[in-house]
Formats: sequence, C-alpha cells, structure tokens
Amino acid sequence: MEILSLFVYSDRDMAGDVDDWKSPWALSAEIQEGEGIRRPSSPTTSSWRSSPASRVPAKSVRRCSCVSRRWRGLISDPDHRKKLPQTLAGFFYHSENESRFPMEARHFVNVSGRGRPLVYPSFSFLPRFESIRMVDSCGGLLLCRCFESSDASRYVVCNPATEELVALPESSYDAEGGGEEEMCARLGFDPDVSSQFHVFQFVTDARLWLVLRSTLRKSENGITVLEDYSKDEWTLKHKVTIELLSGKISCKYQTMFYRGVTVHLDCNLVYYIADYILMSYDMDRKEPRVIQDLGSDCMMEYLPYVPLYVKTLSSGR
Amino acid sequence: MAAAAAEATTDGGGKMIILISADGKRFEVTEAVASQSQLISNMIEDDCTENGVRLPNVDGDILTMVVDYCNMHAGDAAAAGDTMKASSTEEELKKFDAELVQALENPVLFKLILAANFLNIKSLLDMTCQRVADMMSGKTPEQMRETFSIENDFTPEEEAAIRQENAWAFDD
Repeated sequence: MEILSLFVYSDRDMAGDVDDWKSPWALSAEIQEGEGIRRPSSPTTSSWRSSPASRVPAKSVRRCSCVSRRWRGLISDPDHRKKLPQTLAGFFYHSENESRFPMEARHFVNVSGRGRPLVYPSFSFLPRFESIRMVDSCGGLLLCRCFESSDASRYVVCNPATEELVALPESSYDAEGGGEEEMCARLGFDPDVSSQFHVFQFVTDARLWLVLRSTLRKSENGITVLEDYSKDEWTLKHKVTIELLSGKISCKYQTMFYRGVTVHLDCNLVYYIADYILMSYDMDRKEPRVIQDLGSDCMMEYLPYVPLYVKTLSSGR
Repeated sequence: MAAAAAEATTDGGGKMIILISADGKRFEVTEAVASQSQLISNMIEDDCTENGVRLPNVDGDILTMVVDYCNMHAGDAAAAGDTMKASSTEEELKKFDAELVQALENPVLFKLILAANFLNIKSLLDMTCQRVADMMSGKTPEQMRETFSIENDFTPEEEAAIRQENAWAFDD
C-alpha cells in the first residue's frame, strides 16, 4: 500500500515550478496531495492539520488573501480551503410571514452583514420535503428537521459546504410533534476530535442545554463566558450596559429584548439580537455595530455557522 | 554490495539500511533511525529494503539534514527510561531542532517540509510547518510579501476592496 503510494507520488516533478517554492500556500497544496494518497485513516483528525497553512490563525489567513492574486486564488481554492482554519462565517435563521408564499423561509446572513450570502439555504441537495426547519448547527454541520407531511418528520444532519447528508432513523419522540420539541434536539460535533456527530434529543428540560450551547449568558447586563471547561465555573469576561448595546438603534419594533447569539472568538465580538436587529459588540473597543435588520418576521432562533469543507458524513456518524 | 550492507549490524545489533537520494548519494543508517520515517518503517515491515531505499524526490543535501535529524532523535525512546539523561537530551534536542530550522533559507525549508511529508516523519513535519506558520502569523500583507518575496499584483482598487471584505482581520 505504502510502496504503491511512493510511486504515485514520485511521478511528480519536484523541481518543476520553481516559483512555488516561494509560497507556503503552494506548499500546503502539495502536502495535501501527498496526504491524499496515504492510508486513509481518519479523514478529519490530525492528517489535515499538518500543513503550514492550517497552523496559521484564521485572522492571518484572511490577511494572506490580500497578499497577491496567486495567494488569494490558493486560499479560496475549494480543494485547498479544507485545510485552512475556518472561522465564524454567518448565521442561519428562519422567517415566517403570512402574507407570503411559502410562509416560512430560510435565510443566511454573512458575519459582515455585507455581500452575497456564503450559503443559500435552499438545500437543493436534500431530498424533497414539505418543509425543512434548521434546528442546530455545530462544527460546520447542520441539524434539520425535515417534514414529509405536517405530522411526519425526521432529523437530517447535513454539511451545507460539501452537500453531504445523513438521515437519522425516526425516534420514538418524533411522533409527538409540536414546535416546542424542536428546541430540544441538539447537535454535537467536533471535526478535530472525531468524524462522529451526536444528536441529543432533550425531551423535558432543554433550558440548561441552551445556555451551554451559546456559551454566553446574560447576568447583570454583563457577559459571562465559560472560558475554561476544566475549571467548571463561569468567569465574567466583560461587562456592558444595555444602553451601550442598543446605542445605535432606535426602537423600531418596540419590543426591546436581547438575545445572545454567539461570541466570535477570533476577534472578540459578541453577536446579539436587539429588537430584531442583528448586532455585534466589540469587547475590545466597547463599540456596538449594526449588522443587519432582520425584519419583524424573523424567528428568534439563530444558528452560527463555521464552514467545514472536509467530507465527514460519508465515512460514518 | 547492497546485500552485504543490509547484512551488516552495528554494535547495538540494529540492522543497517541504505537510503539513496535523488542525486544518487547513499546514506547508511540503522533501522531504528530510519524507522522514524513511517514510510520506511512500513517498508521494513514489508521486507523490501534489501537493495536500499531509493528516494527519487529527496535531494542529497536535504536527505543529509533528514538523516542528521533522525540520528539525533533516534535516542528519544531509548533515553526515556533514564530520567537524568532524558532531561539533558531533551534540552539538547530542542537546541538542535531550533538551530536546524532557524538557519534555513525559505526554499530549503520548504524542500525539507516536503521531504518530511513524503517520508512521513511527523515530528519533523510538525516542527518545519510550525516554523513557516510562525513566519506568517501576525504579519501584515506587506510584511508577508517581503518575507516570502511575493510581488503585489493587485490594482490599488482591488486591494482596497479585498481589505474591505476582510476588514475584521485587520483590527489589532
């Protein structure tokens, strides 16, 4: 096996493109090629973490794409971005509007609030369902509840970036239906640890889980973040007043409420919704910013999305 | 001749293996040293190292470095039992590793990474990749162009647009 790969690899002319030696990105592409022909052990663990580019923080990767056309091309190359550290790209959300058909719609808003959405949540790669509810997102995978009819549904886990999907077997609780229950299904997945994902169905009390999922909760107008899981305690990371959080918006919808969405760890930003407006708050500069007005028909369930360009679902669950 | 070499043993009793670089240079190393390469370790397991191991995409000067590295690190496992010895060795190794990657020009460093990847020597690959990652991290695009001798071929308008797209990456 290994000897075969030796010959495959040596087909390449090492001294071929002298220019390539200058670029760590080209180098990473080369390493990826080498790894592709090795023994396929685990697609998601250490193997794809070993090139130089995969060790650079997401922030530096973004800066690298400003270096030259060639670097930019290499970074955005679909084969190549699998190896790059990805960061928060945006949020999935639903809207519901009775004066529109279909009433329910799925949306994606980029983290910057600008430009073409990274993902179009039409999910045309999924089989046809009467309706699809996005329930949870974790590690680049999305947990959806797909309704075959109004009283028959099943969960599907998919990766919007690679268009892979796994339909879960029906659970005994599915039949009971009801909107509340959807809140109780959660997805657990960390591609660095394992290519397996876990779906949790919380039947009675889902509240505790919601707190953990967003690793963010509100207390005395402050933001507390569970920083160190080993210490098993919440530490206060930052304090901010409601006045500051809502400083840039006028109360258009007159339903002033706040909901933490996620924390962008790479740049110390907290994303939250205030009065149907998606906002970010910069904890370093103590500055709120309006990302996008989502409209009063948006549903209050937001799913932060970090793309995962590695195929994992085909190899098991 | 190769067969004779393969039969030869060192004082420690390890079997010797001949590695042959792209430009025909020959390196004689013990199985223990060579086995740090997963590729060669697998070949040893499959009994196909008798006539020497040809490495058609590793140049002699790069292979010299790889062999030095493997010789230096071959003691790792052996010394682990002896705490005193292990700690001093560890320090020496760190110093050796740091000096190995610090001194290299970019093209040589990149070739060393490819050799470590091809030979599948994880610790050497980790160390060399980390070196390149460190060279990229925290730098502005201008500094990166300088470090890797890259020409900026964006028009000023294009560059401004790309920076705007990635604005968050430029906050410090």
